[in-house]
This record gives sequence, C-alpha cells and structure tokens, in this order.
Amino acid sequence: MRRFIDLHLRPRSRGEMEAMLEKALRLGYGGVAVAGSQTLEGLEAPKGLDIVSRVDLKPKTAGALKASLRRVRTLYVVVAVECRSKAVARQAARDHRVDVVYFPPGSGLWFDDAEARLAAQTGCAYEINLTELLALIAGRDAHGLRRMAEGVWNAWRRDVPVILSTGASNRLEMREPRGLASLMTLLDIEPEDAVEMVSTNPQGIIERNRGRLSGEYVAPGVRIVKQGGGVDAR
Amino acid sequence: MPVKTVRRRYIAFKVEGEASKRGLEEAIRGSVERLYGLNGLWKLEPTLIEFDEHRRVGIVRCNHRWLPWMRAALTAITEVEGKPIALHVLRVSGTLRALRRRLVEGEGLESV
Repeated sequence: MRRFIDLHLRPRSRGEMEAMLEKALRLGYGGVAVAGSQTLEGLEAPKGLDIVSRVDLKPKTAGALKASLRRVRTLYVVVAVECRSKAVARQAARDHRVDVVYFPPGSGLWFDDAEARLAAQTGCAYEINLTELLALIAGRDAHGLRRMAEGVWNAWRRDVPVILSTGASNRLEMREPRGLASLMTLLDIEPEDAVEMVSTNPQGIIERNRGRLSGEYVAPGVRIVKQGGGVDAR
Repeated sequence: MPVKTVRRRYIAFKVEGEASKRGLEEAIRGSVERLYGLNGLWKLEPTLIEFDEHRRVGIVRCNHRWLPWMRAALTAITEVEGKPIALHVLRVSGTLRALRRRLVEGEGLESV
C-alpha cells in the first residue's frame, strides 16, 4: 500500500503542531516532516504517523549556507534550503548535505537547467509547496506558474526527484494527499506521476537520511558494514 | 441508435470551515474557471448535487474524464464568501447511489 508523506509542515505553536499531526493522520498521511521553531522533544506522535525533523535554512549568501549546514546537518533528518539568490541556489544544489531546495514566489528565481544538473549529481530534490502554488493561482500569476512548470520539467529531464508538500502553517492549509497530487494537472503532470511526488520521492529522502544519521554512514557511497576486531600488536 | 457516451463521476467531499450551499457552488465553478477557463468549465461540467450544511458534506458531479482536474479545482478552493475553508475529498464513485451508501457506511475521511 502506498505511503503518503507531507515533507513540509511549519506549525507556529505547539498546540497547532499537535492538531496538525492528528489531522495529517486522518487525511491519510503515513509520515510528516515538521519544520519551524517547534521542537519534537517529548511529543507523543499519533499512532501510525512517522514524524521526522526538518530545518528550513534561509541564508543570504553561499558562505552563510555552508556555515549553517556545518551546524545543523547532523541534528535534522531533512535539511531544506529556501533559495532567495542565485548564489545560494547554486551552492545548495551542489552540496551533498542539502536534501531539498525550494523557491519562494517573488524571489524571481526558479529551478533552472543548471540547477537541475548540479542537483542530479548530489541527490538534492526540488520541492513545490502547496501554499506557494495556491498563492500563484490566487494571484492569477501565469508567469509564476510557467516558471514552476519549467522547474518540474528541468528536474524530470535530469532525473531529479520532485517533492510536493503542503508547506502548511495551520490546519486549513493542509490537504489530502491525492487532492494535493491532483493540483499538478495544472502543470501538465500526469496524475500517476504526481502521486509519486507525495509518496515515493519524499519517502526516499527520509530513508536515505535515516541511514546517514544512523552512525554507519561515512561519505556518499561509503558506509560501515562491520566493525573490525582490535588487532593485538604485542 | 445514438449511444450515451458521457460518463459521470460523483465526488463526496467534506468542508472544513463555514460555507453555504450557494457560496460553495459559486466557489467550485469559480475555481474551475480560474484554473481551466471557460473551456474547462464546459468540459468538467461541475454540478453541486447536494450539500449538507450541518454535516458539511457535499457531493459534486463531473465528467469522468476530468476527475483529476475536478479534484484539483476542489483542492484549490481556499475561501467561500470571504471566509477561509478547505475541501477534502472523501470518496469518488460512478453512481450517486453507491456513493451515498458508502458515505452512510462511514467509508472515507469522514472524521476530517
């Protein structure tokens, strides 16, 4: 059975977070990633819902991004970067420590082909947030929608996974997973392919990063399979 | 002899927030038109069959070919008559009778 994941919830309070987690389970999600200032410590997860930690980095320069990554990479399962400048976007796409990049509307940036080529080498995914998509629809921003569609096409051409999340900060911004996927028809994505964006693709990121944080991970392509016994030098 | 080729899909949905039947009907048609234009409006043929304002459960009909597009239009609705709402699809069926039966049996995201 398909497992749906919402990789981007950003509740503003503890109470809202608990309500959103309950709702995610009722909507049919099997997993969520929670970003924002709310800590997951001491949280009782609803049964059947897998909760992972996520951090959204919003650096102004490529240098600031590198410094932030050194600090947070081992603390969160999912590391996302909000790209507000070309330099940050390029650095994020070429850095192995970044899992997800997204482009806020109004930044004038999109997931271009050069970005996609870099992301394909590092396993970084391109994320579309429902809140951003709905803002484009509400504003009848055809240009913004076109850029979003171009981002998806570039990602597909280069085999970069595309993630579809809600980016919800309250319960009313949450949507059921198949409804979320259906919105991709607006960008000319087939419904079956769109469903992968809310299930298989985010699940792959979570599994990969849990492996990396497990202690067996050394570097991309290198992990500890077995601990060797100590050699007696005497 | 002419053969009826138009097949329908009936979508049951739950509304989260305050909405009247009239307001919802306008919001659904408005959403389809905003996303797909007049062309989409005649292709999808969105029709609000019923809406229980107490349970906040409604049924909308559309052309079966355009079901994902209809679903997208429902998902894209964020407000009705100026009040914020969210729509969640509970069930989809080929006949109204089967859909109502399943809703009574409690299948779908009834508790959303």
